[in-house]
Amino acid sequence: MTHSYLLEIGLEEVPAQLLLPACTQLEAAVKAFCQAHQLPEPGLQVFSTPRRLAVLASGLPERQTDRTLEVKGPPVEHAQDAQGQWTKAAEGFARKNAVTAADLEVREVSGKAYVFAVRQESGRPVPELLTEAVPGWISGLSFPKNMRWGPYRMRFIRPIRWIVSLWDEQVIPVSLEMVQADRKSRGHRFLGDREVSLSQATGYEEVLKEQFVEADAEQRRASIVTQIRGLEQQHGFHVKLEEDLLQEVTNLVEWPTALVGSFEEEFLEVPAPVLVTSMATHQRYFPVFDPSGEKLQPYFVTVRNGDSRSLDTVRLGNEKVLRARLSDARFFYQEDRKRDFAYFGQKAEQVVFFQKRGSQGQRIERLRRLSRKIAAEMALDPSRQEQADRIAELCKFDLFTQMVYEFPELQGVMGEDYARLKAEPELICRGIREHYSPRNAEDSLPGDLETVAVALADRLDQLAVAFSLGMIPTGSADPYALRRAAQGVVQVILGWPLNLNFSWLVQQALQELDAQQKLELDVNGLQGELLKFLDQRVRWYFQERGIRHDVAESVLGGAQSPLGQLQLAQALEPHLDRSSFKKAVEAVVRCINISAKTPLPESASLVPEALEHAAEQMLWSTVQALQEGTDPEVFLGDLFRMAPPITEFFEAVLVMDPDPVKQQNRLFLCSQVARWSTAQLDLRALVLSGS
Amino acid sequence: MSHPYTLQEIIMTLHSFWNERGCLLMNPYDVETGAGTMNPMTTLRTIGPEEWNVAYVEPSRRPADGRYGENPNRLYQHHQYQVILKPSPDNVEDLYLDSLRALGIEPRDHDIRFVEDNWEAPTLGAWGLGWEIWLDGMEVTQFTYFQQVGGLECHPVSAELTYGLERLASYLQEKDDVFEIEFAPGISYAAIFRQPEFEHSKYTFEVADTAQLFRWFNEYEAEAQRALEAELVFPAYDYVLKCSHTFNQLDAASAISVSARAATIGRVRNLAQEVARKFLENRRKLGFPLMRDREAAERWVHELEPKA
Repeated sequence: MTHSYLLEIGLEEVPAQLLLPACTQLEAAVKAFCQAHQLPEPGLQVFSTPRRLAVLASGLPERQTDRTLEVKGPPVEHAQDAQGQWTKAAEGFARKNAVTAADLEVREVSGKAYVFAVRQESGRPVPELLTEAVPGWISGLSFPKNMRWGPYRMRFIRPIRWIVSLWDEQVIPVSLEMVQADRKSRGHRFLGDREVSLSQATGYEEVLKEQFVEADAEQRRASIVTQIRGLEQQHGFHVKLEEDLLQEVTNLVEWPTALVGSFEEEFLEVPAPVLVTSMATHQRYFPVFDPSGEKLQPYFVTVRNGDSRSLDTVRLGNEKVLRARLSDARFFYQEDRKRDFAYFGQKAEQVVFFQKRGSQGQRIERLRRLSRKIAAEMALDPSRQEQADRIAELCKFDLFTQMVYEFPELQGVMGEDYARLKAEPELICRGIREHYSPRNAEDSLPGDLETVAVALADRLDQLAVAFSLGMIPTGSADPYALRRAAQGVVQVILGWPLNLNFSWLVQQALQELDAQQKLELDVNGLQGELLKFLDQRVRWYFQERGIRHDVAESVLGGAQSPLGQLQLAQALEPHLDRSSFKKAVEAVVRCINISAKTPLPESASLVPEALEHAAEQMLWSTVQALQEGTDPEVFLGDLFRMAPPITEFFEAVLVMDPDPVKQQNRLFLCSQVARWSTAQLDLRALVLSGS
Repeated sequence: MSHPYTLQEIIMTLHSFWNERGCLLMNPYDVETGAGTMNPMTTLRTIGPEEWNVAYVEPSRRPADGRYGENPNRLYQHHQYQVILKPSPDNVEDLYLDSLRALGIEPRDHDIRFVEDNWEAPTLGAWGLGWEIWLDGMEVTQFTYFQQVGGLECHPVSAELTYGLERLASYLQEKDDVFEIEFAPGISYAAIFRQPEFEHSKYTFEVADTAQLFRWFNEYEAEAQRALEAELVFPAYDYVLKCSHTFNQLDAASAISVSARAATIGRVRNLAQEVARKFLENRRKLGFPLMRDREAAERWVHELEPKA
């Protein structure tokens, strides 16, 4: 006969997004427990609501099976002395394994005699094991930020208020600092009983359902979806169920009841992103659209934690809150629209960007100049440079609007909307929004090259300002999100892709800042630090693209532009496992090593008359035919062509010939090969397994 | 029993509710505060091992939220009802919900939610975990378990309940505009607060002499340090509050740059942390007189002795 075990951890409201990860951990803890104690894998059901985490394990045996433990000890010659008496070592070994020395046995293992401790271990009752293990399951759950409460020392995500621990019908003692396990659960906070006595482990879900608690998160989610689909039918509208919001709402309630609220139609004049942010982000409402899913409707759907009693009170309350938020938003929208660009420009002059680095207005001046330069460097024609300039001029004005002050997440989005109302060209409007892209590793890139110039200028200026103030991120601390800024530069350049030189870009940004603020910065020093910082981001980008670590190291060790490095890394990819590639690399690395060991002076040259061997002449002509440039395929072709003459060269001659002219000639040949390859990449960093 | 309606009836109901549950009823502080938390009845008393249960109203100044008395939801100064329960009792959530019932809010007839909200007061070196409590979608209370104050671990942990009095009143009175709330029978919120709202907003955004405010900030900071050197934590803390309010005024006037902001907050925090350390030490020297368990008090006196 098998048994069921129920553990319910009763909590104060756990943050919604942490429930699922906690369930996964709890499930893993039970599985690990069964494995560690040689129990068969149980059937597992995991439950979670804001106020409880629970797991129901079924198919558990009464006790562990008995087993014979055989532990190998020291060789006999160490375990017995000349008289055949057990030594101290043998006695110690016996003690450690809970047997007496008399119980030690001698057995042969691969022809050698060892001492063995043999012991019958009777399986322990599983409830006993649970009593010992369960506190560890609970304290082992890890959360991003734990707390203490009351007089207790334990840390957990939120206060633990009760524990149910049932082995079939019987309570298994589990003791925490603040609570002892019992069979008493609790119902829904407002609809259920304060105390619910569970008679047995199984049937947990059903008992809680009678208490207005849907313990299964999937069921709760399904119930919300069904209810919302019903409301759609009934009202003839469409509700967009964003997965993140649906998950969050599912984990904010124990007994969901969806209801529809409305707001005054006049609020629809406020741009949709503002309405959606107000509803979804701030209030956790689902926005409502017309059946085509395009046009916002003056309704919302919210999910109440409770039943349908007094639903109108709940509706009216929620409508009142939303009305307050939306009338604020509409007020901001109307006020902002009364102002012209000059007004916001004035505001920008009054706001300090960074102390000692000028106002936001001055920053915009820098962005304009820098954007133009970058656009020119990208070979955009003068009219497109003008457009980049205009985007830069307008890309930050919305920071000084009331709407963005209240809804910072809408920066760029509001700028686009307001600029369109002022009849700016579409490219400019789009650019105001898109210059913030990419906002993270997955985000899309700006779609127009004019905007790309501004996106780069914006981030480079931010980096230049921060670095000029010595604010260089260390460890995980990065309060000004400089890593993300640097990442953005890398993503835009490599993602588009663009052949822009980092060194030049960084220098321009630093010089603009230096000249405008008359700082007399150490531009070269800062440039070096910034380039190092960008290099780390390039490394990150390569990693994101699945480029092997050694390949990344190798191309980053060359003198190519980041785009060239990326293309080279991608071109190497299909060759990495080929033995011909490995041979070629080894041949070149041999040259690199020799010329590193015995460097020649810069002025060294070759004496062609002294090339006596055919192999030397062959290598010389191959070296002369090497092509400079950035095309990775050309480089790879050369690399493969190099291998045979180098191999023959090393077979035919001794580089360190006693004759200084011959020696210098041979070293010169090696150094030419080394110089050619290191300009592209550092071949020594490659780890090749091909035979 | 009839339920409260005017704002002052709400205050009286909460007073009587928390009085019956053993809280000291205290008064607003007489130095400008940004929140009930800043009142030393919270900031200082949540430090150390002594029991402390207190309730009071705190008029809270938020210069950046000033809207000239024209916005139906924003105020330069709003009113918080602040409760501290130290240590937080096991049934603290139920106590809170009972207080809503006393106000005539029967949870069965509403949607009451505990939505994660982690609180941090960088100027105080304080943080805690807890929730915003939503009443039919409106945040009416902040519920926080204090974890650190003045950079010191809280032990035991206090529960802080901060009711937004205007929010509650506007809900109970079904008013969309805070200025329409009846403060007392026949006296509207506007009648009392419209003018100060306008004047404080105009002062903050148009008239304040920011150079003078910067000077005051520096002087308050120096005076706090002087008081600290004399081991006088309460006077020192008053000047920390002055610094904090002056900083808020400067911030509202956009006179502080991004980088200077963090540094200025750091200066106030350093003072607050020093005040916290000295407060704890002064209470220790007094033998933690508010602890009922005298043996425990002696253990704490010993345990918290500064290491030489």
